[in-house]
Amino acid sequence: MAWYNSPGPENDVVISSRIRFARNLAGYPFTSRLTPQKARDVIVEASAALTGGDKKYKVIDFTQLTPAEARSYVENHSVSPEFIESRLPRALVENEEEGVAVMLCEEDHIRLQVLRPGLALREAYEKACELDDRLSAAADIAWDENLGYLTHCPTNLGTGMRASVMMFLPAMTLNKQIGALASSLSKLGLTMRGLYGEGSEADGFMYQISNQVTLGITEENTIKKLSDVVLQIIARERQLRASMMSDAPDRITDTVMRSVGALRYAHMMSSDEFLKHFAYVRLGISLGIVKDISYEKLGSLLVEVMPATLTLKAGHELGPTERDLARAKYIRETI
Amino acid sequence: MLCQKCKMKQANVFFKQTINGKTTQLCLCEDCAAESGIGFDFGFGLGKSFMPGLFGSVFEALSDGISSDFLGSQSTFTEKRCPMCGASFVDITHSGKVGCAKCYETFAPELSGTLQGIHGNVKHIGRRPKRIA
Repeated sequence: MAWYNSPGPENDVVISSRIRFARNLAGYPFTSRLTPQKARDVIVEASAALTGGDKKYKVIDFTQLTPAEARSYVENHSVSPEFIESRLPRALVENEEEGVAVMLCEEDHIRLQVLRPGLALREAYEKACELDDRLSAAADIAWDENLGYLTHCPTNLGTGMRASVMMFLPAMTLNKQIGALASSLSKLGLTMRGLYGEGSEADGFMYQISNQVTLGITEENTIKKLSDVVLQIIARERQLRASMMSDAPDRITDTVMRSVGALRYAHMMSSDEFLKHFAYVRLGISLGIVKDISYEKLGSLLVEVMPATLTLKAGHELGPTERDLARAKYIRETI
Repeated sequence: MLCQKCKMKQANVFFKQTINGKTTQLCLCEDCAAESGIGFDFGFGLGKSFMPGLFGSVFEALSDGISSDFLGSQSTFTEKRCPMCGASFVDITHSGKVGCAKCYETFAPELSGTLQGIHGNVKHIGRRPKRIA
């Protein structure tokens, strides 16, 4: 069970939470200055230190994957697009059950990530600390008393931590409150971006909110600050949804049910169109309009109908039309 | 040899300038070199280019007839490089990233203003590794 198909706290507004630590092994140049052999040495040393030989963690050599296989890991948010575009040896240490996905030789030697469904920053943080402690007990990590964890890019110095929450904000988007929200967040040292673009129904009304500050603040305070703000946003979003239902229940119900119909019966569907219908059906579940589709079942589509993941299911390359047909078919069979 | 500007610290940044056949040399410590604007501003890939006018004025201010064969075999341009990864400050400003952990120590004077700009005047108060080398 992964972040996109499992239940989590505050699921109606928060899709997932992520904690990421950036770490580097002492004694090696940072990633952009690694030779291929040194990158392989980093991978061997880091993966051994992280896993301690525990077989529940898979170590996936990304140089051995096909483009579609590599891309599917981007689509389920395990790795970044930059990771699969790199030409250096690189690997992923993962345990899907725990939400653990550690990139080796991305921008830093070790990008330790834990993803959890819903609002679960503390749980994700505790798992990340467990892995980080095991890593730093077994390997020398680049660290300085004043600058903290030493990272390839100076903006990550200090905690090296990025705490983020993926939020679903249809009511705030439709009521044009996202701009003001982004501006307020910036004043608090937080940043916000649309998940796939600038934030609209074509992006599923999804946004990622993260901390920006990493030096001069503890990890615990970073998480507390982010959680406090997220709870306020949750309250605002729910209030706006209630107002929308009170002001125009028929119009919203009609929009939601048209999207249910499209997902259940469309013969072809593009990614953009899917995200729009996904968003309205998800809103419909939270408003009690849609009673026979769960967040988990709908959430699974978010990853399963992405282009590379569809290609892997088909077992061969798909052209754009074939992908749109395959997507619609998979959705009809799931929903 | 001592830095020509402060006359206190050891010089380890050496420059040679030749204009119209006349060569002058400059020997500075890291701090005076950074203060004099000899070098690059760290700009995350948007680094300012080298400022020859400022460089020239430093030469005029400090040059006092030092012989062009003073450095003997040091006849080529010498810039500071990280002893661990070989990165120069030019490399860092060009890419926006440092080359290794040692760069933070090697280029501490050059980086201090930039780190302060990003993070403010703070130090780390968060987690530490279980094992510190």
